Amino acid sequence: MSALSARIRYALRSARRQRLRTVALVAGVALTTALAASIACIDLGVRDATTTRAGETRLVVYRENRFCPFASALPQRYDRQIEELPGVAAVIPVKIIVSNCRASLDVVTFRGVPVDDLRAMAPRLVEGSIDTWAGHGNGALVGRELATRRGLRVGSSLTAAGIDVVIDGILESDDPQWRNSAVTHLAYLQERAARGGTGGIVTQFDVVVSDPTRLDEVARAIDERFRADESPTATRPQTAFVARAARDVVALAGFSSLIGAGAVLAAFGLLATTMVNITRHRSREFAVLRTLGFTDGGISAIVLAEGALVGALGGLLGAGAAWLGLSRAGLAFTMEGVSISPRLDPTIFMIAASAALAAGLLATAVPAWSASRARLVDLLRGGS
Amino acid sequence: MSLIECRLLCKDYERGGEAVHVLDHLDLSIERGSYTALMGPSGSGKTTLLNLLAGIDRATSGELLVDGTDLAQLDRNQLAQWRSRHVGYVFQLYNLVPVLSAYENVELPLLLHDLTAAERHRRVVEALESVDLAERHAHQPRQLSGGHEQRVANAPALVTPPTLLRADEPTGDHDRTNADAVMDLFGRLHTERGQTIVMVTHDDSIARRAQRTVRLEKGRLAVQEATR
Repeated sequence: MSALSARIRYALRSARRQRLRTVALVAGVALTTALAASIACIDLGVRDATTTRAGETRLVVYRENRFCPFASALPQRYDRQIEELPGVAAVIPVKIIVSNCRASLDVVTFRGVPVDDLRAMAPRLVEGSIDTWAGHGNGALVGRELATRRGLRVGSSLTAAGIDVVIDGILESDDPQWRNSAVTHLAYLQERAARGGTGGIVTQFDVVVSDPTRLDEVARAIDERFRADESPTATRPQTAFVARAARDVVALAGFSSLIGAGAVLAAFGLLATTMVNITRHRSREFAVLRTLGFTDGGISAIVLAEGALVGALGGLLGAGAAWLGLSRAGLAFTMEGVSISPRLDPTIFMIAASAALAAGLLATAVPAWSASRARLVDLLRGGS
Repeated sequence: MSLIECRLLCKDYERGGEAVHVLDHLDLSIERGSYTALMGPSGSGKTTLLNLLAGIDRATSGELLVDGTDLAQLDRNQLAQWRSRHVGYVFQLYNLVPVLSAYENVELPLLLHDLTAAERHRRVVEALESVDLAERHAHQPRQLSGGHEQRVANAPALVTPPTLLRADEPTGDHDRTNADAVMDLFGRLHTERGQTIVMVTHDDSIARRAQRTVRLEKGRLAVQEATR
């Protein structure tokens, strides 16, 4: 048996026999890892949704000085005037109705769009059919996260904010707004919003520009076009629009990240302290091992192997639990009709699991060193 | 032929800022295959001497050769490896690893030797049978009585087998039956295997089981006498 395998085998035995201690430590690391990974995913989701990037081509045209979909009302006819502006590739009039205008984790957002415009967007359907939806007046295509959160399937019905729809498909999108919305026919939503009125009013226009470098120029041109009109507009890049609309959520997410980071640090401190105390209580055990011929490096390897075992197990469990929890929960922070979802990037989970392993090793590095350096005679007398 | 040679061996400790001379220029030879009891009042340096002989501690000055090896020349890791190859330990306190079973505790010294799993198993079973505890192999130390725990603690010294068996108060606070069992085991190791044993004891009746008694006083050799 090689010296290394002897040490690893000893570490495994020790971890197995001290079951309660090992389980408690692994659970602590797993919770910390899950927390850290979740915070990182939320943070990434916030950055994705709110950071303007080169190459961005989408603008959102909103009613000037309005901040909630209930208050933003623009004549649908503006779409033709916007289309005529240079640099505009496409215009989609959107009617938005939300079940709750304030910040919430479970808001149902209805987005009414013209059938042809949705077809032109070629949305990715994971279930159902766009043709069925097109021929179904009160049909809806629901985003995957909303469907997960509400347990919706094709054929089931959804009622919220006084709107009744039947689910014709589940759609996937890179855009959290679409992943967290129920897409309906524009006319249906206008009719439901106006309660039998005239319709012809939308909440916003989603504008696609032909050249990303002209994003600001087109935005200015749109606002200039309607400055003296009955409904002046405020046009922003989509990410800037989300950042403004969801500023409270962004601030809240940032604050939560700080608290989470503090909790992670505190948990790591506790883990390190626990490992130090555990190692200190094992001084006589290590003295016996050293007396029998285990070298300084051998003792360090045992302590580090136990730390690595706890870190690796806790890291894998924590990262797995965070992945499972976030993907199953369909979590989305929604405010004023704008949604921000955590981004489940595999890199985050790999980094979180690796960090847990590193933390396990780091937390045991000092005790491992002190266990190997203490005077053998002192250890055998029961000192540390 | 001497297995152990101590010449002008000194060991000093610092206590409260003052140097304490625990061993004071000690000269001593121990023959290969001998059975020696170290005796003396508390603080006379017997456990310190035993620790030096077993490579657990280092002398402050003087020369210590064990089986021709000058222990002062070995670094920490070399000394650890030397201990694993040459010394078997029986401690005053049982010093078993609490999370391991009796079997695993006895197997522990063998993990550092290049042996097959079958050979390790054979030796461990044989050692546990020697101390009459084969049926308790799966028990952890807390599940054993004090006497049984001491018997398990003796067994690791049987598996290697060592050049030198170092025993510090091996009968400790045992009752007479358990003390006799330990001493019978040592007697067998000495007579049947020719094992060199150095044992610290306060008990004259235990010391009489050895071939020779070495008495220390204030870190010096006071008396050495053959006991049988």
